[in-house]
Order: sequence, then structure tokens, then C-alpha cells
Amino acid sequence: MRRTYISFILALGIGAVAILLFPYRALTPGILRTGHEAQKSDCFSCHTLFAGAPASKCGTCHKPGDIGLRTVKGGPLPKASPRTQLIHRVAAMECDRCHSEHGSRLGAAATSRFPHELLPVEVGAGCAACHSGKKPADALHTTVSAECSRCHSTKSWKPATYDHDKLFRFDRNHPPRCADCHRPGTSLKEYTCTGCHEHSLDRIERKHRKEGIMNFENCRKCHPSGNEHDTIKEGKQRGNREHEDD
Amino acid sequence: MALRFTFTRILPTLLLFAALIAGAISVDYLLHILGLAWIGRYCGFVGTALILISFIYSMRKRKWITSGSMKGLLKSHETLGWFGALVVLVHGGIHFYALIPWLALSAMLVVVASGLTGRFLLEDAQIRIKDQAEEMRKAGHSATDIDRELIGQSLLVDTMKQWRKVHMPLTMIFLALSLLHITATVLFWRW
Repeated sequence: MRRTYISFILALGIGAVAILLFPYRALTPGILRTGHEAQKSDCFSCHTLFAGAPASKCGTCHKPGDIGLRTVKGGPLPKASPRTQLIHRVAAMECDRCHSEHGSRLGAAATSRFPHELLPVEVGAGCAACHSGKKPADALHTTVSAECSRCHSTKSWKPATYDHDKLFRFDRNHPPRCADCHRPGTSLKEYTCTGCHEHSLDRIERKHRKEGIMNFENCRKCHPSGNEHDTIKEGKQRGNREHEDD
Repeated sequence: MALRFTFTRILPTLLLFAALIAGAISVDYLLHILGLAWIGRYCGFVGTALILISFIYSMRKRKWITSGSMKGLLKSHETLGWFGALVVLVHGGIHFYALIPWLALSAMLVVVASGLTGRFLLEDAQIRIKDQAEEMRKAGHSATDIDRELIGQSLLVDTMKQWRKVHMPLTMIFLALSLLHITATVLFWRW
């Protein structure tokens, strides 16, 4: 029994001495990032007991107004980042919400997904304030005038989502390929179904006139999907009547 | 004979230890590919709780508590100790930075190995005593003679006594290092 207690006290004592003599080596959860070498010998230069690493301690060296513009020594950054400056100016949050100064040998320290919900509403709603250079110059995006948030969310940028079902339901014969129905260079509000051989203009005209339907310009108004039996009957008799315009 | 001994007695013990390591690696890998690696941080609390609960057996052994069967509590000590160690291994992950937590983790693995050895020794001693009693019965000895011969199950007692001289100090070293790690975490954590 005595051996047991002696083992405990010895291990505790040796461990405590090791912590006092070599605190960084004994306790660090990861290598400190470049630029924080001076903090290795003094954990409390960043940490407060029971409070982690509060922003006030980070602010000792990283002046909030200088982030993204100047170095900690006050000189200009080689490449200023207005976006970084905006984020730190408007978002009220603790530094360690995104930053971990104890990195990892196995890879970059995990900075969490940027919490967009901490941005003021008027800033968070306008993606362009931070992401102005990110809009691709492809056929899809050059014809879209809507805000990015129409298809992209702050939860995850990709995949983009758009509820196309309310306009037209995709299926095996009508896969979600924009160019199949929306001609390049035209607005996404415009579409055509006559792009494939199944829906040639002659065939559509013939089939509809046979049913007494004269106005068949806006296909999706009656056909919410590619299923020809899935038609919307608007309560009007079909025959020689024309469909009402939109 | 030796081969049979190895397969029926030694191999299960080795497999239990191997399963601990393999299980921890599997769970850690799963958490990473599911993007749930952050759970590992909180596994420290769970693992510690499981290990502490397993010490109910130790308290019962020292008669600090009087309820509960020794056999049942020993079984729960083994099971909770194994699962607690697995959860703590997931918590630790494959990181080798700080000395104190790393030493605590190593000490834990040594204690588990020691525990599994004790389990093996206990079972082995029990089997040997049973075999000895059976031999005496076949030789025609009376039950009283057998009991007198095996009184106190001296083989079992001696074996476990020697084993405890190693297991207890190792456990104390593990507990001391864990206490230092937990204290440091509590002091530096943002609460």
C-alpha cells in the first residue's frame, strides 16, 4: 500500500516540476504558429486562467483596426486585404472562434468555417462585400443578375442549390443541365423546349393543334415536368380555345 | 500442448489489447471522415468518467463500500476500464505534442496491459486449482482433504499478490499524470 501512495506522489511531483520548468513542452496542445515564439516561455501572455485566450490578449499585439492592413510592428502588409479588414471590423467575436495558434504537425490548424451569422445583417446579406472577385465569368453566372445567396448558402458554398422544382421538375430525360433549355447568352428567365428532337417545333405544333390548343409558347405553364401526362388543367375546356397568356 | 495453451489462453488476452488499439484507430478514422473530429475533445470527459466508475470495484475490494458482488464488480471494472481506455485513446488521437498528456496516455496503455495480464493470471490460477482438485478427486481424496490441501487457494492468492505489486503503482502513476493533464486543461480552457 505504501508503495502505491509513494508512486502517486512521486509521479505527481515529477510531473509538476516538469511543467514548471518546461511549460511549453509539457503542456502545449500543438506547435505555436510562426510569430508567436516569444509566447512559448509564457503561456499567460495569451491565456487567462479559466478564460482561454481572450481577444483582449490577442489585441495586445494585433490591433483590431490594423488587421488586414498592417503588421503587428505597424508597417504595411505586403498585400493588404480589405476583406480581412472588413471581417474583423464588423464581426464581433472572439479570436479563437476561427483562429487556433496551436497548430498541428499533421496539417494547418483548423480554422472553423467563417461564422457568417456574426456579421451585421446588412453586411452578411451582400456577398459581394467580401467575395466580389469570386463570381465566375462562365455562361451561367454572366446571365444571372440575382444575389449569390439565391443559389449559394453560407452553410456551404458548394454545391449551389436552387429549387428548380417550382418551375420545372427534372427527370431522367430532363437532367439538370442549364444549357439544354436555357440558351447561352440569354437570361435564365427565358427557356426553350425545342432544343431536342423530341420537342421539335413541328411536332409540338401538330400535337397541340390536334387537341385544339393554339397557344403553346409557355410550355411549363401546363407541363411542370417531362411527364406528358402530368399536365396542369386550368379548369378550362380544351378544344379550340386558346390558353390565356401569362 | 504449448500451442493449445497459446491459442486458448494467451491469444484471447493479446487480441483484447489489439482490439483496443484497432478500435480506437477505427473510431478516430470514422470521426475524421464524417467531419466529427471535434467530438474527440469531449471524449476525454467520457473516458475519464468510465475509468472512474470502474474504480467502484477497487472501493468494494477495500471495503469502502459494502454492496455489490466482487465477481460482478470485477467484470465491470474490466469492461469499463477497456471501454474507458478506448474512448480516451480516441480523445488523444495520433498527436504527439505535450509531454504530460502523452505520458498519461502511455501509462494508461501500460495499466491496461497490466490489467489484462492480471485477468489472464487470475483465470490461469483458477484453472490450475480446479485441475488440481479434479486430480485429487480422481485419486480418491475426500472433499475435506481437497479443501484442506487447497485452503486459501494459496496459489491464486500468491499470484495475485505479486501481480498487484506491479499493477497498483502503475495505476497510481497513470492517475497522477492524468490529474496533471486534467488540471492544466481546466486552467487553460475557456469556460
